[in-house]
Amino acid sequence: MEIPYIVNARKDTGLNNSKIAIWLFLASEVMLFGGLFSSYIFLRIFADFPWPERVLPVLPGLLNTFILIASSVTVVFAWASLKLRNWKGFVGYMSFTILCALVFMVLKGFEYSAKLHHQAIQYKDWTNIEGHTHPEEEGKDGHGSHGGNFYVIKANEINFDLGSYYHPYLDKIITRIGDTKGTAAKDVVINVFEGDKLIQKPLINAGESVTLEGEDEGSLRNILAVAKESFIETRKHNEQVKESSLRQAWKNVKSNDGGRFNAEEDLTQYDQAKKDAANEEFARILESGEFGTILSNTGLFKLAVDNAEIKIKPSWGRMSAPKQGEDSTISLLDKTAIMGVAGDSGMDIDVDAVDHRHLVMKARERKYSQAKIDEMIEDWYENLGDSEGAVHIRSLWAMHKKWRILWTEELKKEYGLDDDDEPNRVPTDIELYRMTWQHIVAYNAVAKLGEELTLANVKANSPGMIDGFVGANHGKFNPKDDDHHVIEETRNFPLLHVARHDIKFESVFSPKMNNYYAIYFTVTGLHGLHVIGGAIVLSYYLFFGYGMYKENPEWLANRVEVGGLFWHFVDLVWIFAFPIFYLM
Amino acid sequence: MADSPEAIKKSIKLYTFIGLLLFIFTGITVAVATVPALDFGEHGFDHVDAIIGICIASFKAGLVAFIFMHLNHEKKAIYWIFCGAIALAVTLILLFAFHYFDPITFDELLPGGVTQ
Repeated sequence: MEIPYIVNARKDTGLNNSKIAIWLFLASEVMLFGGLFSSYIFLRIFADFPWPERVLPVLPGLLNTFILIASSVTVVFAWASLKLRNWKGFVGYMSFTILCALVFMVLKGFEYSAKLHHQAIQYKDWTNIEGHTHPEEEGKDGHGSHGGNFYVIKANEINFDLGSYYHPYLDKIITRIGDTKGTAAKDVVINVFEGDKLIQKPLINAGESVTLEGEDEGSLRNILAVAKESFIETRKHNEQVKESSLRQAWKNVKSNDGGRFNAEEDLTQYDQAKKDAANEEFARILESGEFGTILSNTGLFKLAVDNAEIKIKPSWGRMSAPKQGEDSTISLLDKTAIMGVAGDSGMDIDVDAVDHRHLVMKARERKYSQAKIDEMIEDWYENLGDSEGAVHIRSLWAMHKKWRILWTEELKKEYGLDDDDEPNRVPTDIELYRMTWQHIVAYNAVAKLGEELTLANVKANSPGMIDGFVGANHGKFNPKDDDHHVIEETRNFPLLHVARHDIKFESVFSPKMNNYYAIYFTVTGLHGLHVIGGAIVLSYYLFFGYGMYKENPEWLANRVEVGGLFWHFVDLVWIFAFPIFYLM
Repeated sequence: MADSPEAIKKSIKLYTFIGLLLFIFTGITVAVATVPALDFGEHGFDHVDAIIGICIASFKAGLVAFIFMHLNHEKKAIYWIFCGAIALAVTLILLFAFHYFDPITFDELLPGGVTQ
């Protein structure tokens, strides 16, 4: 079928249909991104935490801006080449455009990866630390930033919910328990249905031992599977009995209400009386066993284990009372409960930033004096203990306090005082209360040189944009040996062991972290999808366009113009996203 | 629309120039956010920097829309569609904003200066 007005313009609009269509689509896109940017504005205005302003490394974002602008220029060049009937020129410019899209996505990937491997921990006093967690020395679990982040418990009993236990969790628990023996903590009786016949038999008695590995009879997996089947079948049976009985009860009540209710009563009383009657009738029918009997149903399997150390990823559930040595329970998302004594669930982290701004914000809300705020911050450092990392971090903070004084003086000298003798410029809260990884690297270098701390030598020793391309550079400033252990002589980022009960909140820099990262990932992720989509469409013109070029070059030129309009729009969104997320 | 080969050849120069302009203004955006001497308003980020940043971004977006997307000589229907969408999006943002920061207060209208 011939589609009308693809190449030639319609008389009434003066435009071809594809162009109208793409502009309608772009109009809807304006509203989509407009909505997202407006959510950014409101999230920021009403944020109940210090907004992470200017925290993203600028260089990758800047490069991506240049890349998108360059690709916008080349996509119009590609269109112009088609208009001038220059196929080779079109191929060259279009290939460059698509290459730009690929490079854009690769850079985006580096940025995302750095964030998803960067851990933040919030202490209960609202102090935040950031860094890389230490890999555990066991298999895959321990690799990357999730390594070392576990709830640890010395379990003595595990309750499996037969209706909802989840096999991957079960497998992991069995692996973790290892060689420890398990026994049933309670008798389990199962109901087996063979046609209409019901057989009740004991599955396991309390005190009998349970094999943890394998799936043979008597193994944990087998017992759970058999008990689960009985649980589900019994539940089904019971529900059927109840449903049939209730239906019959209402039937009886409805067909026989003439003599039992007073028609003069008001409707509420009438309804209530009817409900009561139905309930009574329901109880009577259940009792009579007209539709079968309600069977007892075991919903839990209780497994007793002997002090088995179990580690669980925090994303799998919650741990109550995580203080080491106290009675504790880990409740998994599949309702499995692991009970025992809390082990050392702390996290080892190479600290690359310390941020007290949230603490300061909370203290100001409570109208605390500056002296009190400073004291609270000092308390945090005092409570870190006497480990090597704690001593290191205290020495860094001492240097940061010195730097703050020098920086305040410098601003006063540079910009002078106003009419009230107040300095025109004072350090920001970020400068005062956030010790960044650049500061840490510079302070270490100055200390190593044995020099007196000055603004000049801090600046000279601060890592530049390239060294911190996508964030704190642990490879260069905290290098590891072949066994993944940090080489102590070249360590810059202090190692802290954070006890689990000191942690208020912990997360990698993912959307879960806070509203800033949620909206950052939403907008840049959606924009990234647009880049991929646009690149696919432009690639189609490039690789499958030659036939159309031979037949009807003007049509292909129109297509490229329409695809180009979308591409410019993608650039346009980034022109706003870049300053908003990276520079403000 | 520049449809004749001569006109297109001429507009290629314009596209190159606009591309350069966009590069330069991107540099300026980063400079005002990172170079202390170009830090307007208070020290560090504040509303002045926000306004400057958004103004530069809007100017750049305008260049892309008017030159690359040919909005400088486009048919009426397109203006209605696109500008209509922008107007709707802005209205939506303003409506949300007014929900929180109502510029119209009725305090003076109430007898005896009683507030609600």
